[in-house]
Amino acid sequence: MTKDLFDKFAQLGTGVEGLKMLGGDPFSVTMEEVSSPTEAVIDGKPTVLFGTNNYLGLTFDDAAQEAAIDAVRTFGVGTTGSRVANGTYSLHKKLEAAVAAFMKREKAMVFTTGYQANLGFLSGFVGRDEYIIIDGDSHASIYDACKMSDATVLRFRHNDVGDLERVLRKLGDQDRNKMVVVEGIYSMLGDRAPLKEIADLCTKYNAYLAVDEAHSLGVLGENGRGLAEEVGVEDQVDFVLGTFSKSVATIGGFCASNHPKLDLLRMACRSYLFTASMPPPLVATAIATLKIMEERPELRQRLRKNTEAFYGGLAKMGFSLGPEPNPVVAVKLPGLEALMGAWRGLLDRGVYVNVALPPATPANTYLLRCSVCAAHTDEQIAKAMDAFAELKQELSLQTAAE
Amino acid sequence: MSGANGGSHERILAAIRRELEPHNPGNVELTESTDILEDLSVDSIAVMDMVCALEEEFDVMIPLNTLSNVRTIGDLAKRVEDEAARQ
Repeated sequence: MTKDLFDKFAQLGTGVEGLKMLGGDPFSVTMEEVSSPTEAVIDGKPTVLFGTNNYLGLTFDDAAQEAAIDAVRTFGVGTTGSRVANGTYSLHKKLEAAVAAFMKREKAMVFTTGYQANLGFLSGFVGRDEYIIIDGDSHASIYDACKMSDATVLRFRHNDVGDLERVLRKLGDQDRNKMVVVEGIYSMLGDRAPLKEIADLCTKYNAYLAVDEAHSLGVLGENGRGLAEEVGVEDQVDFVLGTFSKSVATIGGFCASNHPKLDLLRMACRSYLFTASMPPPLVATAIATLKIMEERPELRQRLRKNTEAFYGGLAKMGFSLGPEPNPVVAVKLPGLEALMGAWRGLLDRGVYVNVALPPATPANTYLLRCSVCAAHTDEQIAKAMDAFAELKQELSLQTAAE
Repeated sequence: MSGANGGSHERILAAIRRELEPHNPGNVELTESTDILEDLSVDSIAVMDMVCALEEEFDVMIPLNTLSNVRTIGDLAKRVEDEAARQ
């Protein structure tokens, strides 16, 4: 008898059914209307969004919208081809120049998504007889790149500089290239890499360093270039990876570097070669929002202020949070039931956040994953704080009753 | 197992059992044929954390891309032994 291909997902199916019984399926929330970077209608109800990665709140920016519309009229709605065939328009070149200028790097290449940037860069660039050394909490795109690469893949404990040194020391001074890969801000707990120490280790052990600034671009650093700028180690970072789907408010990804041969990667990265390029309106959006990010540092300041209010408020209420205030704010809950109850409770009170479950989370934690936006008003943050305060009371009543 | 590596094989197995114990709430008997992902409540991240601990303890490197064929406790012990012999 032929087995059903779906049999292996039986546990997944049961898991989702279980979630529904505990408060609804958090992975199929539908926004019926979206009226601003911070407001949508969910289940027919106006809801404030605290789970978007839309850190600078530029998704509805007037100039970005005009640029996108203009690009649609000038270049059409899609490119229908790869960058190396019919998919390179003058706009793509302009965006690459804009990324290089913003990141203060000699060169940049743009991928269709951030996922593809990590996937193509690492798997295409680091190959046989070379090493990729990754942080344990790396994003799925980095793990997937490692699976695709012919390189030898080693892993060190999350943010553990001593463990990274153990790996580098063990490799010794053998004549094989080593690429260490870390992230500016980690997407689950919102914690930063100890980048200064990591960069110094890479220098000491002669390893290349790539930093994925997906969640830190536009957020950290005096000019928003990310964690490397913030801690002053940009000259020790060989390759910067990033996404346009967070602060840049659209979708797409990039790799930027001062390496004079970066353009060779255009012929080596499969996720760059074998996919259609970014559609014109999205390219135009990224060009426009990068310009806004440069011209309006007050957005970053506002984001910082909102982050401190949100993180600080939750900390004061006694919630267990990620280790430091960044726009990704992880609220740790004791288990699945508490998590789903809290998530549903917030949504019922008109506050949307994300749910993050093992194995996507570090150390089997159950997280309400919140993200703060520069466009959040004081009133919206107050509304979220009120909702969390009510939940806290309910949770402690439950804990007391148990 | 007898011979020069016998002791280290047992030592590696003991270390794996020790690392797996917190992930074994059902008190499954941990033998060489226990399937780490199927028989225990261990996810792939926990397996990788365990590998870090084994790397440290036995001073070896176990590349992630050599773990795809590791299913059982015995498989993992053999990976550690092979690397120890190679390095």
